[in-house]
Amino acid sequence: MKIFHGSAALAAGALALLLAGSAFSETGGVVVDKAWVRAYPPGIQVTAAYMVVKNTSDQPAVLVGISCSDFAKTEIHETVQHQGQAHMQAVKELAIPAHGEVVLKPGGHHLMLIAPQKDTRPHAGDRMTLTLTFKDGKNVPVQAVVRKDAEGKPAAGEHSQHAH
Amino acid sequence: MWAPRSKKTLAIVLVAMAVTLIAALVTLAHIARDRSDVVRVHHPADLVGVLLPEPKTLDDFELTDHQGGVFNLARLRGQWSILFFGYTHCPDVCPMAMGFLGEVFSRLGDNPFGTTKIQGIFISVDPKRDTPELLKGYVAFFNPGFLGVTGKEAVLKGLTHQVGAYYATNQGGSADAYEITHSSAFFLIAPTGKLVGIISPNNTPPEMAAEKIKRIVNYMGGAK
Repeated sequence: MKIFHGSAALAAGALALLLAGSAFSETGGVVVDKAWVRAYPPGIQVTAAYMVVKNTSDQPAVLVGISCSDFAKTEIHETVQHQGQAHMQAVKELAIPAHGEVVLKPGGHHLMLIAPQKDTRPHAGDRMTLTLTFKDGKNVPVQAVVRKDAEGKPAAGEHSQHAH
Repeated sequence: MWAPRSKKTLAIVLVAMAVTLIAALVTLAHIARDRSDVVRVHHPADLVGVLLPEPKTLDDFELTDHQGGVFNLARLRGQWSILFFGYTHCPDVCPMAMGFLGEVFSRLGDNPFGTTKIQGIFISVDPKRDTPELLKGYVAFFNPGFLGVTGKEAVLKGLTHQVGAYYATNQGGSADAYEITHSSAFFLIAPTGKLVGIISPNNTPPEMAAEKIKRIVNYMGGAK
């Protein structure tokens, strides 16, 4: 029966999306790609998460918060480098323009993760779930991979994130 | 057209003009002297902007390393050193810089300059939160041979000032939640204990930075 096949295909598609979600999250016009969390040394209380947040909708998407059960506190931050000096500033909102993207990367915008809640530190290759909260109340779950290195140097065992 | 209303006003205007002229001449003289300094030293073109015109002598200082040992100027003599000033509560710039330095050191290998060694040193400008014990685990994460150093605020201020680094604490919401603005460059010290160069990574790949360091060491010969 054609309708049945259609539903099965849809269900399979949904399942595929769910499975692929580990690398690629899409919820109502916001697509998050290449999410990673910086592995941190023992005893250290802070680290950062980086990703590409794409907005496929016709309206700006405004990121207002991030949460992660592994950390007590989080903040949206921007590193500003000026004349050889670096400082961070907290950012209340991060707007992703309609049909645009914002790249969170080392030395620029990043999501600061503060006060680890677990006794064991994550290692390169581990996965971590983050939730991005947008101004319109939308929550976007993101699966991030833990990496020691900056962009361009894939963590050991990391596979291509572009399965589509 | 505006015209002075009295001789007194005219005199004031003339004096003001003379002062302005003198100030401009003094400024120009300074610029000319600075330029002559730059021109006088003939570093190879690719090292201009990295090497100082002349190596800079540093005054002694006393800090503590992550083993609890004294870390002073003598510890910078006899080998090359690369210093970075930061703090462990820095989530972005410091781990990025130290990760980069770790990559550079793994490319330099064990004995890049024959018998002369090179040491990587993270100097925490946050002695309140960064204990030697914490620094020990922190630096080892990036390279097992790196040294973690910190000490008294006044000594840190003095050393950063001497090498041309900078830091300032920005008070946060609570006593323990503060951030620090700091230099993002690396400071290169020759085996003489003199500051010879300032390296800004600016997205340089670690292998290129390692090559540049080898080039500087060859060029300087460790003798100056």
